[in-house]
Amino acid sequence: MPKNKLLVLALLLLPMPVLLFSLFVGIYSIDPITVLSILAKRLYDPSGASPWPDVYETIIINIRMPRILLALVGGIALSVSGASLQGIFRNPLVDTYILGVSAGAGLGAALGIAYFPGVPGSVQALSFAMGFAAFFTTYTVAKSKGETPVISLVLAGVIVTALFSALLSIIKFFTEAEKLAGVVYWMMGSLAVTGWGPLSQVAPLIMVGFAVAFLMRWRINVLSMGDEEAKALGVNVGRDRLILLLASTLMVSAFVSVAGIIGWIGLVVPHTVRMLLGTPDNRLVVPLSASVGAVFLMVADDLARSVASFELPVGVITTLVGAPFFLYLLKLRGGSAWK
Amino acid sequence: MEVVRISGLDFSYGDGFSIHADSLRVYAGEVLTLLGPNGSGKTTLLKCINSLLKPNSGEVLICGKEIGSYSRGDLAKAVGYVPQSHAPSFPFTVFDIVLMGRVSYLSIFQQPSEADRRKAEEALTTVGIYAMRDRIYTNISGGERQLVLIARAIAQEPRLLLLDEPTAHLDFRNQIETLRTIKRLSRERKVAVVMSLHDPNHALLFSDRIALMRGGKLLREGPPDEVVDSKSIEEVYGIPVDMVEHSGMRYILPAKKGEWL
Amino acid sequence: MAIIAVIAVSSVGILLAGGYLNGGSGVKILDMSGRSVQLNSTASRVVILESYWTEIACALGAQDKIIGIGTYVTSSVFIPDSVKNKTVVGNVFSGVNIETVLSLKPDLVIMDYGYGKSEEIVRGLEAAGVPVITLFAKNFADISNATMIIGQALGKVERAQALSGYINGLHSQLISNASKIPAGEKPRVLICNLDVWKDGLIYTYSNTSWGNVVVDVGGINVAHESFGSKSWVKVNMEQVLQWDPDLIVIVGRTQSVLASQIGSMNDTNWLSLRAVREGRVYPVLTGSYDRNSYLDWTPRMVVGELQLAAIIQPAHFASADWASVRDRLMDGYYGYLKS
Repeated sequence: MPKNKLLVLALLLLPMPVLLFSLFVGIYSIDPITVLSILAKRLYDPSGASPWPDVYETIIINIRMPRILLALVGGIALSVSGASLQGIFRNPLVDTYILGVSAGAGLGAALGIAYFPGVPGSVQALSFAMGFAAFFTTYTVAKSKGETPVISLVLAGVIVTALFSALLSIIKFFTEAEKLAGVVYWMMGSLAVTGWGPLSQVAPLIMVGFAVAFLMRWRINVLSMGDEEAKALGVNVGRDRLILLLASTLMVSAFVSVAGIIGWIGLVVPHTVRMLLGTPDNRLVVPLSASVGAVFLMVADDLARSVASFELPVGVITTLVGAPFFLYLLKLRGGSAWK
Repeated sequence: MEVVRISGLDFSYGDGFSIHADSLRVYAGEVLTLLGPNGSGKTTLLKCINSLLKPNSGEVLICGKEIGSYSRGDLAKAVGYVPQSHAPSFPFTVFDIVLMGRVSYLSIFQQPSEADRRKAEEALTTVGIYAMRDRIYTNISGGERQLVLIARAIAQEPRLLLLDEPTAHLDFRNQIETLRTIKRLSRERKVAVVMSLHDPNHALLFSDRIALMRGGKLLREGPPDEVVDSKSIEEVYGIPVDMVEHSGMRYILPAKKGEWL
Repeated sequence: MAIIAVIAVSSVGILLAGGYLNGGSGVKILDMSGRSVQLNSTASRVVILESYWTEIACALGAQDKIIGIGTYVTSSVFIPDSVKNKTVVGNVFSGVNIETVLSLKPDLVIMDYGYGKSEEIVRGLEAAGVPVITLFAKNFADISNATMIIGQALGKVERAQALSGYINGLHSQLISNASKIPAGEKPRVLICNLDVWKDGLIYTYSNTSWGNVVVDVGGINVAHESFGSKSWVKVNMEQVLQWDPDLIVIVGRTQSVLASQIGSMNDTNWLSLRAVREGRVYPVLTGSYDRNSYLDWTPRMVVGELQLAAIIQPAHFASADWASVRDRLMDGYYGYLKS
């Protein structure tokens, strides 16, 4: 097993060099040495004189840094949520948005764009709140006689997604062209809307959700055996599952509220991790999904903001990169990880 | 020591099927078999003894305590449940599966400790499958899976072991091996065992006591010699049978009937 | 004298471009997507889908002939209530209810082409026997051209000639003034909207009617420079810092939207820009939500051009008084708003 341990360690540490590398990437050309000098100066001599223009510091510290960190926590949020939901739903093909959170968040954002233009934070707050509202609707609909069977949750998620999407269509229909473009672009997802403000609002929420999922990572194994077995093993299935679903919804709603809907990460990353490690044990899969997800989204966003001088939607990149990579892994392993 | 005491139990699914058990006791170190045809209520009764189903009326005491007063975790420390084996969605190793038996000893945010790992390994050894430790649970045979699930229940360190048709889907050899293991565990570890079977011969070979079930009711209960004879089996299964003896053991065979046996 | 000559020449040009061929019985019109439309006589029952074409029809005195309108027409403040009360039939983005249109028994529909569901709407209407004139404005000449086509279709040719002659004259004078400005005196201008994404994504106007106004009045449109023929381009803050424009024009449809955009620029990233620090940020209203908006695809555009000229080249347009041009235009053609 030493080879595996080395791989685990490498994957866990990978976000750090990628974070640093991402700081070098951008439209405004600043050479890596200067970037490092700026970082060093920020750490050791923040008030000292600098030989580079002030705008360099603005770009590195206020534009690139918070955006890269948002990609980092976003990658964690989406892939850890994906990993825990796949465990809870006992299905490796479940994605982050199965409970209707994306449809709810989309509706909230559209409401904000269409009816509260210019109100600071309205889009973010509404999308966060509606993401949660969608989850609670799903959970309430699925609950009967004090039980929430997995199959009911999946069905309720489908229904709620359809319902919220229909409401979204109505808003799109009645809103004017310019705002419609805003809604459509929001749905594609972008990390450009950042700065330290939004990051400092959502990062703590994501870290709380992650901490819960991380601490319960082994329990997800037990939940993945099915409701009845987990109960017989002594798990309070209803309570534990609700806590995990809340943690997952918290992470995803918080991230989606500032970045829009970015797909494929929650599905691809946990899968990739399981295939790389050759184990479905969530004690490894949860933390490694966090680091691989963070790396994936940071790299995808590096592409989004540097391939062209205009912004590419990062959600399109995660799909364009994620889907073929996933296909490759499936071909490579012949799907053997699931038999 | 009395581990299970059932009195006046009634349960109904609400679709017409119901079970009724007036009185049933199980003691430490003995094997009680629920014997009856498909649909006779064996699984339902087992689930009532594990609080997976809540009876409409009556009382189930586990180690002298009303079952409803247990938390899920405490109940799991007293009662190990072995469901019919099935393939889970994720390819865990055998050891990972057995380790799950320790979950009731851990708080919600706790990971299994070295001590828990030792308990899981012990359980593997006890069942005699330590060599399978690192195999993938989804790739092993049905008989092996049944043993893994028994090891997982043993890792719970229960006073009572419930097994739902442990021989279903197993070949001849695996059926016997599994039942031997169960009987040995009840003796060695002084656990009370309640299992459901539908083959009368298995029941005769491995039970200390047998409870005959039909149509949701407990018909008779007692030592195999008293409960099982050709008349009672005919009554429960609805076909004519013969009883034969061979080297001191009694066996039930279908009675010869015309050209087609 | 020169001005009169320019007006005369351009009017003839417009007449030819508009395909003003009124021979024999009926009216034959060459519309802006190059379709030849044959009307039995000038239209008296017309449905117009866009607010700007509706506004031109009203300015030409044809408001009584409008019997149906598009969804967004009702939000324009340059259209009389008597027209806003007409039946709403849909819009090019989400589609038009053909049956509603038919129930109004129109003899003409005027609408945009080239985006949304325009093609299928045109096909549907023509299949139902309703003649359709399609228009689209990319630049100033298109507005004048559209004015002539609408005038011709609605039997207001003289007034259309007068109106387009008036705005063409002003426009030509502005172009000839601007052409004399030496290249060294042209400021680098960013014209953008930051409504939806705040400090994240910035919508820049490159090769669009408003983006082109910047060039027409003697500025260098930085987005146009980078992106050439692309029309609306979303860029991130790093790109804006890279451009570091001499002045910034912020556009928006209402005063509150402008105010919130200006408010969001009070942020470290924006303050790194020279133009922001030196107070060279100019909010300009666009569209038809506010009586003080001039940048729109209507004759008001000429006022908007002069307004931007005063911002971008104050020294060279000191004599051009946009306020008095506005008053003359309002008095001469928008009298219907006073009643």
